[in-house]
Amino acid sequence: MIQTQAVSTFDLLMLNKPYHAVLLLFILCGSPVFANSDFDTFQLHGFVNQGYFLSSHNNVNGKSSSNHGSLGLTEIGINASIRPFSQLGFAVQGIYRKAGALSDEAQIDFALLDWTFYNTGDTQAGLRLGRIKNPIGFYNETRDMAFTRPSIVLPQGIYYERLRDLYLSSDGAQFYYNQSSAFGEFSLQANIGKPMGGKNELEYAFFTFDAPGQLKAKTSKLVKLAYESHSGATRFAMTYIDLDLDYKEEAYDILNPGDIAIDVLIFSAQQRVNNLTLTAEYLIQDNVLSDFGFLLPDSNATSISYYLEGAYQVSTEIQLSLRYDALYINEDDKNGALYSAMTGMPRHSAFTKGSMVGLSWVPSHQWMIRTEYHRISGSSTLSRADNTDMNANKKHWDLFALQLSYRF
Amino acid sequence: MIGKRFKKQISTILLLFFIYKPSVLLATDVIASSNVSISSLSLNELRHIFFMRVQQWPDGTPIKVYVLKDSNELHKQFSKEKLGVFPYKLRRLWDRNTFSGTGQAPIVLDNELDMMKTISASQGGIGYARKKTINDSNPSRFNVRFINVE
Repeated sequence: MIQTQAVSTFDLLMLNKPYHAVLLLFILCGSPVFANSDFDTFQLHGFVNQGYFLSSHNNVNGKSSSNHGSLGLTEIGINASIRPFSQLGFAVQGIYRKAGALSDEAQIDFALLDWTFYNTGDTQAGLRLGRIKNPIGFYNETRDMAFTRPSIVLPQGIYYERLRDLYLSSDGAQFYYNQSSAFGEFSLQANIGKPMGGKNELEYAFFTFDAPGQLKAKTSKLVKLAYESHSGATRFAMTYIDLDLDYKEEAYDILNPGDIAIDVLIFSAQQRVNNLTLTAEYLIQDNVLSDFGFLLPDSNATSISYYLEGAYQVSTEIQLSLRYDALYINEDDKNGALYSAMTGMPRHSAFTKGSMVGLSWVPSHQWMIRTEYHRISGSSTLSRADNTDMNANKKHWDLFALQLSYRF
Repeated sequence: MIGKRFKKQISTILLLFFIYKPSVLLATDVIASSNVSISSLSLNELRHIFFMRVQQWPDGTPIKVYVLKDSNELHKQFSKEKLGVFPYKLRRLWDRNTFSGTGQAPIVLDNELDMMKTISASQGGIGYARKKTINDSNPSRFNVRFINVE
């Protein structure tokens, strides 16, 4: 039997997703409709990153533990923005990302309309509508752009690659408020929106197996408060995320249609003194699983993660960095004994602790070469996609990474 | 009497010249296109412009912000001395704007001469240059307005 699907004009105009409407507006902006506006403000920017990974055991971004390592991380982003009126701007970014077996796709990263309805210079208030990046901690908003992150591999406890889809961007709205004062600049961002679709990796991360049905994110809420000194040397931020996932069961499913409620609180702090920058972030995450049935009893675990990083600017082109980070999936079960008993997986699947030493060289404004070496204990950040037998993951492993980045 | 007073004045001027020469002649000046109708900005207003937070001059003309590369000494000097911020803060702000879709970045020019040419030719442009370069150049080539920062 052939099933036909009705295609409405609405679909044809691609207005069935909020960010499509923004794309359409973007195209309209190029038309003479907006006669009295400023189109000189059109800007095009982008980046390309190519990474190489070599590990002693366990795979990161492809088969990094093979003899010749993996070139499995390629990130390409291109964005366009225009501000035809002082109160109104549009911006859109497309990203192609190949990350081992976890991801090989192009997608719209953001596509938004920015309406600054109040602006005195010292104070701005506005709304952004469409697909919006989630402002989480210091780095999530621009996590794919190598020049804006502190290392090739972000601190995994906070910028958890396995849950990337939940945190990257959402379709919805953001209210923002910036206030400049004698003490520095304060900002507030409040988002409400639907996170982008998840992959099977979400199920492995929460269930340790791929369930027949699917985990779907519901409308999530996020608030970030930030402070930055006038000079830029001191920064603080606090992020709160309220995220809920529903399980859509299949017929004859092994799980009931349960749900996962996640509450995240992140504290971020950074201080620069001369050439030395110290950065620390701390995360507390409550994970409540309920109503999945006997196979997955109700549970309430609090994950914690933190890192401390010191970066020293050796010269204008060279930066040396050191970092220690830790992630415990359940703070009451730091050694993973309970986790292992419940899931049958190795104890080290419940934590990851690691130290990193990194070096980056920025020979010009547009190019960067970065290299880093990690010593890691634990396997909780490893993806199922790249490590098909999670029971075979090793507890102690080393990772070397090299990345070439270009921007324009 | 007059001669003595004159000599004293000359020596004061010379003294001032030697003391202030580097900071006066090599100091960065904020320059704007000739159609910009204001002649002074407060430090806060200047920051808002270079942070890409305000998009219009008081008369409604769109603001076009020009800068030199991050590694350029003049850019570093302007950033620290005129704006009172570290250059890395500006880069972080502009990159966040550009790569999260929350704003825009200034237009980056190659050198000081380019800066003066571009601002002379543009409407509503703002940037910076050294007084010495401006004084040394043929004034008829450039039509820029100096903006006092208070």
